[in-house]
Amino acid sequence: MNKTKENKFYGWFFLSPYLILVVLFFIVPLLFAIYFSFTRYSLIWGGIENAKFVGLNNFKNLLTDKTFLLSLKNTFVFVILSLPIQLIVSFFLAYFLNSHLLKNKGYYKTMFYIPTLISTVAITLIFSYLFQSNGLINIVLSIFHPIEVNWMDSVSLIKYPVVTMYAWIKVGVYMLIYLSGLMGIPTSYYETLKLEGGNFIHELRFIVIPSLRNVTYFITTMILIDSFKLFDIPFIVSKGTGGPLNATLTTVIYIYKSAFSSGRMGYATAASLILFLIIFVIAKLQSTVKERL
Amino acid sequence: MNDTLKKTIFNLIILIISIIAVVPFIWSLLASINPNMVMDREFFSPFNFTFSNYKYILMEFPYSRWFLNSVIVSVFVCLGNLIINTMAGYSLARLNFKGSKFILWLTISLMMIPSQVLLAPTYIVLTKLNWIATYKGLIIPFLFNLFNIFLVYQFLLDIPKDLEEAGEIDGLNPIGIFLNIIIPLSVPILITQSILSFTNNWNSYLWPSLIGNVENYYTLPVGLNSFYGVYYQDGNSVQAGVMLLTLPVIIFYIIAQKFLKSNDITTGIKA
Repeated sequence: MNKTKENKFYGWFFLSPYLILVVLFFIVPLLFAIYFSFTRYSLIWGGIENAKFVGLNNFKNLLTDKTFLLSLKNTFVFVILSLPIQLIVSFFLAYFLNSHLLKNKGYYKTMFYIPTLISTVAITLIFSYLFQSNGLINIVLSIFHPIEVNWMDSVSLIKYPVVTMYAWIKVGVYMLIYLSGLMGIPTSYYETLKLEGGNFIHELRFIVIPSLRNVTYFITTMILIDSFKLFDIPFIVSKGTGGPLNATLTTVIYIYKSAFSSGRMGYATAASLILFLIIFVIAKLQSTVKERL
Repeated sequence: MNDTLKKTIFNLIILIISIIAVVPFIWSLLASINPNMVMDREFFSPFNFTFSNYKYILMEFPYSRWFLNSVIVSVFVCLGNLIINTMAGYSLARLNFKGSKFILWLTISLMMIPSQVLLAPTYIVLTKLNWIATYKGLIIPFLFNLFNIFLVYQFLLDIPKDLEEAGEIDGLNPIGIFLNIIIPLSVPILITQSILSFTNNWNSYLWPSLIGNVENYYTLPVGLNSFYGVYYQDGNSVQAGVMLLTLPVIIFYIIAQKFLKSNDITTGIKA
């Protein structure tokens, strides 16, 4: 066997387990998703040949479906609240960890990273108790202001516990990415600034933030894509309902409920394609913004 | 302000922040070994501590079964991922053949599609295969991971060609090179991959709740959440469940982390 032939044979050989799985559990479902989005289909109807073709009806109905639009609005609110919190907290944690003043860096790195290892179910079940009206968070807050806030049952307040839990889980990963960016900044930059008599604000403004522009762009994209897919935390907090009064109904919860509670597979896949389109457009928009800067 | 004072204050502040970061975890640990809740303005006393919450959930509820399910699923998924992703990454990075560029492009393109988009259709595929509420259904669809394939691919790109050529001269075919040269060099990326894959699958909720939707096939997160749905007033037992779910990953992470440090990345070439 000559070299090219050999490489070809072994190349496909090494790829084959991956290719079989990706076709069966990614590409086929993807083609199904596109097909079903133009049909009406429920699992109890039996074979997929029973799906009824309805053209663009699913998409038309979705765009006038108040609950779906509300789920999009809720998702946008979660994204808008989560982005700055996760970005700023992870940046400052990394910035402090990188400081030459800090001792025991490895220890702190582990401490800040531990929350990212914990299951969303576990985090949610811990915070659900902490945020109860007689929970630890209200006890701490009552030091400043003696009231009992009912976080978990209030339509207007429930998003804050959700955003807190979400940030708790995510920040550690972004911190590590920021940290690797910070470690790449040459120390000579800081030395020059010191000679010129610059302070901490100058350091952030003229060295750290400009040097980390690409890292920030990367992390922003990750946060955006990830938070549009928010599901576990609001789902568990609301015991699978998206409540109170749909206040935590994100788009993925809506998709889940249409597919598995109402059994409307076609409608649900159409909704997921719209969600994918939104994520795709935002990622594209962001990359054009980056090129302009 | 002198430098030592500044240093001390700074370290103190970071210490406080790091404690705040793990307070929920510590609160849960204390609640799980306390007979009454650690939340009703009633704080933990070391004289009161008990394992009865753990005993209760393990004896009265199928927690041990759920725990076992989680172990089986996570271990198989993790091993499968190590084998399948590493093989695919090796093929894409090191064996140049017609079609490999296309598969690489396909892998990167598919990475952009969130798996939630495929929720309903994947469920349909699994129903047609009769894999709902089976270990097969919980394991096989998750044996590959696009992101990890890309990670391995990137890592293997940097390995010098000389090592493979030495293998070829010794008469090894690509399988021999993979087993004897590539695998030993990839230990760091294999460890990183196993941390990512194990924790992801151990913690995963959405898919297992759909696929393992019968009590006997609940994984720990699914079982714990269903327990919480009924017994949320017994917060101490819920927190014991939370600890059963949390401690194994933290222990796994710390062990894997140690391995990562003791294995220096070497290319086999002296500078």
